[in-house]
Amino acid sequence: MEASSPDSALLARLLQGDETAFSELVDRYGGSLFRLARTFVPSRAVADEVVQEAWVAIIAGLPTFERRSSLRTWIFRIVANRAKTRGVRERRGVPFSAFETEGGEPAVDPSRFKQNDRWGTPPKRWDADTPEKILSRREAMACLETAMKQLPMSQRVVVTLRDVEGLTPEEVCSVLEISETNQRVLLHRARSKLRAALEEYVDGA
Amino acid sequence: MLSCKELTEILTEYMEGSMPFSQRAALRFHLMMCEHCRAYVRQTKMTMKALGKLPVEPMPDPVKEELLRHYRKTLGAPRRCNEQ
Repeated sequence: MEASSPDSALLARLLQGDETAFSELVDRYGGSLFRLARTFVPSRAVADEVVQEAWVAIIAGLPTFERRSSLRTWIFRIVANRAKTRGVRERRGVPFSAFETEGGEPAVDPSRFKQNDRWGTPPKRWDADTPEKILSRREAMACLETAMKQLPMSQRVVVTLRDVEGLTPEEVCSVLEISETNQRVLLHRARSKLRAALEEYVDGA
Repeated sequence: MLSCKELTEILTEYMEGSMPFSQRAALRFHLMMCEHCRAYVRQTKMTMKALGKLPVEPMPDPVKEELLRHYRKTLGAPRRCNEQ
């Protein structure tokens, strides 16, 4: 709950009508909330609407916020719920069970393993300076963003909250109202595919 | 003995710390022996790190202004009495 302590000081100020506090809240979470909404809905315009409505709900809900979760979790949940509802309506095809994790998908293309399930085509060792090289290359980051867009919505949402926003597993389960196992399976599939996309980029670069 | 393929399937469970001790020990042992899986784990960690660096777009100023007005109207002056 480390994340909740700076937030609880902020909450006290927010309830006193402190505009600087509100401005801090917006600076802290504004971009992240838009990014979260965007993972659920097909267009920027819809994400903008979802986020604005969510902010109005956040402002209205602040006085009765019960602190059963951290401020961050509560805010993310408001956005996730609205974006989920809206996403389902916009796409029409997405089933309600989008957060279920049926069916196995291998983490790695099975053809890369030998018959005995050991590596046949192993991952290459990235040099010591590869991390920095990757992070400094715009195309590498663009490649990750493209791979993110190709993930199924539920996987994209979970990996966004965990690895992009840095929420804990407990926070993600609470925001999305999914089980710990579901959270882990979705995260696993997302990370596996994103690693594969980055590997393809690095090896091809 | 844990295979490489199995390792790639249970890596997240391992990293989440939600794995029984014996399986955890088997995975660590496999990693000690297998440089390919070490490379795989490193790539995975690198991917996670890169995801944490994806740029975020700040909220556009006009939108922020509008929200601030709404906040002022709802919770702002005249200052409310606070129970605490």
